[in-house]
Amino acid sequence: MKKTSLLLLITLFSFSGLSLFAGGSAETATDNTLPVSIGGVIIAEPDYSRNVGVAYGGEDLDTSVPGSYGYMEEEGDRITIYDYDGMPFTFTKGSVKRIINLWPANTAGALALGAEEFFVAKLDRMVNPWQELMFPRYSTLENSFPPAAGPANVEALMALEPDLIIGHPTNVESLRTAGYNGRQLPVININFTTYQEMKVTYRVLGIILGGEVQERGEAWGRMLQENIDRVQKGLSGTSVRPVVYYTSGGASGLDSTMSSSANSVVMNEWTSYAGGKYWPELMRVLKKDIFKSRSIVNVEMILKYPPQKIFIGGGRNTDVDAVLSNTDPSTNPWAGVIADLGEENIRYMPYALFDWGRFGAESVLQILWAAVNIHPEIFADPKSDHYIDMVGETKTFYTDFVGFPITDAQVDDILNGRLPGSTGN
Amino acid sequence: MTKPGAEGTTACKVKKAAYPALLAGSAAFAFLIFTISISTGIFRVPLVTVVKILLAEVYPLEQTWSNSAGIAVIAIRLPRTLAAMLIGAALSLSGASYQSMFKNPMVSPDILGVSAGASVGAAAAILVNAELVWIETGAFLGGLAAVSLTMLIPKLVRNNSIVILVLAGIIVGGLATSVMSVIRMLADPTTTLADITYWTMGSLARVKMKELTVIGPLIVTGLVVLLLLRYRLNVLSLGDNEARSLGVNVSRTRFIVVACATLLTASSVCVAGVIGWVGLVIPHISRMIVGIDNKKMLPVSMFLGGSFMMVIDLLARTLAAVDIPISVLTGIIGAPFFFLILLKQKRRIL
Amino acid sequence: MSSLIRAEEISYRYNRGPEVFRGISFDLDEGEIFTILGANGAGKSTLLNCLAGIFKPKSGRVFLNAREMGELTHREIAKLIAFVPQIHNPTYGYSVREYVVMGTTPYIGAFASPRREDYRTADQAIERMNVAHLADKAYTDLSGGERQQVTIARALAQRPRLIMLDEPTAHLDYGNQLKMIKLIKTLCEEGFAVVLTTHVPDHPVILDGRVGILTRSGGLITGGAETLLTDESLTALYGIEIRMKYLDECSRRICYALFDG
Repeated sequence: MKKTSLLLLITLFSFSGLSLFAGGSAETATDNTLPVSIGGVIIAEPDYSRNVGVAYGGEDLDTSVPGSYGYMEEEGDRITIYDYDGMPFTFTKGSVKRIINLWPANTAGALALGAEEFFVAKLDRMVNPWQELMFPRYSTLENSFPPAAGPANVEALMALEPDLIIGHPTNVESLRTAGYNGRQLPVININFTTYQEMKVTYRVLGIILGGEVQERGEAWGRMLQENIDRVQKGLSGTSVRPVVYYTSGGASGLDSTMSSSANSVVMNEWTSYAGGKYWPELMRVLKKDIFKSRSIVNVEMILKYPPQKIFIGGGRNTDVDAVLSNTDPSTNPWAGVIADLGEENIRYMPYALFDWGRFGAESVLQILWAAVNIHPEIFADPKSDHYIDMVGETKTFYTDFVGFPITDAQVDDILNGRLPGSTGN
Repeated sequence: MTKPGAEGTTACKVKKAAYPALLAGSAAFAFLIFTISISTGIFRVPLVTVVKILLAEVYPLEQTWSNSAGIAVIAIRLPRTLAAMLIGAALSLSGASYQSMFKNPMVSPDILGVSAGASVGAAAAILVNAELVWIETGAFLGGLAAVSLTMLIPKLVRNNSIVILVLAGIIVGGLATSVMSVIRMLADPTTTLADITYWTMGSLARVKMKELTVIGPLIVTGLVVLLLLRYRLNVLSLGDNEARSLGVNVSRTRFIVVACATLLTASSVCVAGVIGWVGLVIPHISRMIVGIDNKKMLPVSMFLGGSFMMVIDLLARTLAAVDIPISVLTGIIGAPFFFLILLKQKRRIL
Repeated sequence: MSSLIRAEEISYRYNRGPEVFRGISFDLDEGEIFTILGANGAGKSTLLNCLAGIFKPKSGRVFLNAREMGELTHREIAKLIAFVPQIHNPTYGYSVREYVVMGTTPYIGAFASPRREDYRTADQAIERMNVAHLADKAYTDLSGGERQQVTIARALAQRPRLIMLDEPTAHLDYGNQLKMIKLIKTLCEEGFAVVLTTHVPDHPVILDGRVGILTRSGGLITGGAETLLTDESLTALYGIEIRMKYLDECSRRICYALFDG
């Protein structure tokens, strides 16, 4: 009897101890308002202003250091270029004709840069209707590989005799170790986590494939800098930095987000370039964000620290629509936030070859789009000096840069995250 | 073969008078945890306000609280806490029932492969974009298939030892995991894959009242039937032939028990994905408190399981800005706890 | 007139195995004892299980109170027959009181638990078996003899008319074996019909009831202890020279082997 009571006590104690612990952590911030924000301006850390005008997290990347990402050695026609992992890739100029790209985001980027004719295989189940529309040759390729992380089928890759395999950041290592002495797969890792690295990625791709792709790769880098500079000029007169909540959308409704410390910080970057504060960054400052990957947000956190803008990735989606249209606060935790913000502050992000807010070539436009939507008073007013004509910019990008003669209706679809041809639905 | 004295010493530690007190205590404890859970969160709402908010749901009250407070309590915490309570009770009771029926204290829904089988069934239903009712049906059929297979293996190898049953569970669980991988490869990475991944992680983050109104009654039905059968479980745990000689229709009773325990597991999987450890650890703790008699152990197990899951959910939604997957927490807390139980009972169990 | 239990030409085999026994017939009434002898593996337990309705005979019929066994539910059978299996080690050590009350299961609804009167029945059975001092102990903590007594208490709680015991003396020391036989005799005198299996030919002699010898060929030879248990039949049964001799000291025949090691 004694022992049992003791055990019972221990059990009870440990349970209540745990709950007290949980309760305690919740009690630390007793006020339900933003502790570091006044009128939408976050006055405490982090100070985004120091990043303005240059790439977030650092200077323009120096590719002249031997072995660094994008470092190149030329010997006549033989070129050796170093990839993201510092591994050399040697080729003869103009000899790379057949490529396989296992990375969805980079595939979309390479297509935008004009590399369609080089592809000898597509990605399984990743060809979206916009890619089908703009790149019918690529979309109907017979051979395909799964986009999944993990090892691809090495023999199937070899059978297509590629001159270059662009690995997925998660499987490039296993591909590199496949094969044996002198018979390795021609695999490179051109991963990136920031805009600045993305610039190098497109430059490297351009150098290897040459011609048109190389020209567009350089042009993309210039476009990036122009867009950043243009937005910074418009922001120079204001210190207002609205808090932006980015969600990757899809089946998780509004709950799925990218933490600020994740590898994929371009969301953090375009938010800050465009004059906003990235919500997970706020959580990081408050030491509330302890995970480093895509995660399901705790909605009570949103209630406690409500964002001022909600941008939804992944294109228009019925699950997200269901959350947006449910105004009943007893069944939809987001109902209050949605009502408070109003339609104008909750936007689907543009979506075409790839999610604009993520890692495709269109992310160069995302900076402009974000600026227009975070600071409409500066960038959306046609009378303003800094007016950004999103329709015109989009049309120019797809028609002149990507080389697809796009219609006005299609531009409208893209800007609203809709699939092609769905206008009017 | 079980050695004499397996768990035997704990049989009679509880005096007759102590049990009603323990039962009432565990019920009160569950209520206490419920109260703490619903009034605690990142968004602070005072207890009095929480009570008012809850009352306002059934009785018209003037709203003196912010909309956000109402949302936090009604839309976020209430469905999660209710779901945690139901799932904890469901997993504990199904674990306890399996343990009695298989005469094996080492089994649980996850060890027998039932959870994995149920998640395969649920994932297959998600793959074809089925409604919630069909996801539940898929989970139930998947779980039933898994447990039948697990029960078949010891018969085929003609070995009824505790270890073989656990091994059979590993075999079936491994098979289900592989099938799950195939389903994930077939899933559309932009839509259904995320849903299926959510299932395998175990989370209460997306529980909505609407799901609970469908699955809650199923769980309650399973709980009630197993509680009513709690004495039959005692008889069944003596072995098939003895139970039969005591007048029990063994195959029918066993079918009802397996069906209910599997329904409970499948329902939990539908609401929150695969959650490990609860079904194994809670019945053991309950046995340590009230002894092995299922008449007493099952009700206590139900309350403790519900309390345990409510605490786990509370931790999952208060420790960080993101929701911590439930299985991470049940593993971190459950695994060491089970080690302690093994340590205390030494080699008695096997 | 119909007997309490009557077997007609029953046979049994496991799955696709050979027949364990065949063509077995006998009947038994209240207050009678039937002792089954047989070599190891002859199928004594299997026969007992068939008679108790736990196994279903492959051919032939068993009648219980003139009703065919196959038409009765397990519950109906359990109200007539209590089965005391060989000592085993259950996984869960229920308390003796809890274990004994399980005997009342046939009188309890499928979704119900034992009521107060069921516990009273159990307590009476415990008293009857003189094991009240064990009532709160775990079954798994008991010695072999205690377990056997407790299981018989459970059988009494079942309020049967026929008690079947599978080798009730198997794991008992010499003293306990004889106490068990004495107990069985008392039960019989109290009006129960008893069927048991044993390896000791002295037991049926002491019990002085009817005997069945399960032969190696799968048949059952039945008769009274006095006439059936002879030097010849026992020698044939055990494959060793056995003699029966009347001993004045105990006023009965005893069994011994001509075995010179």
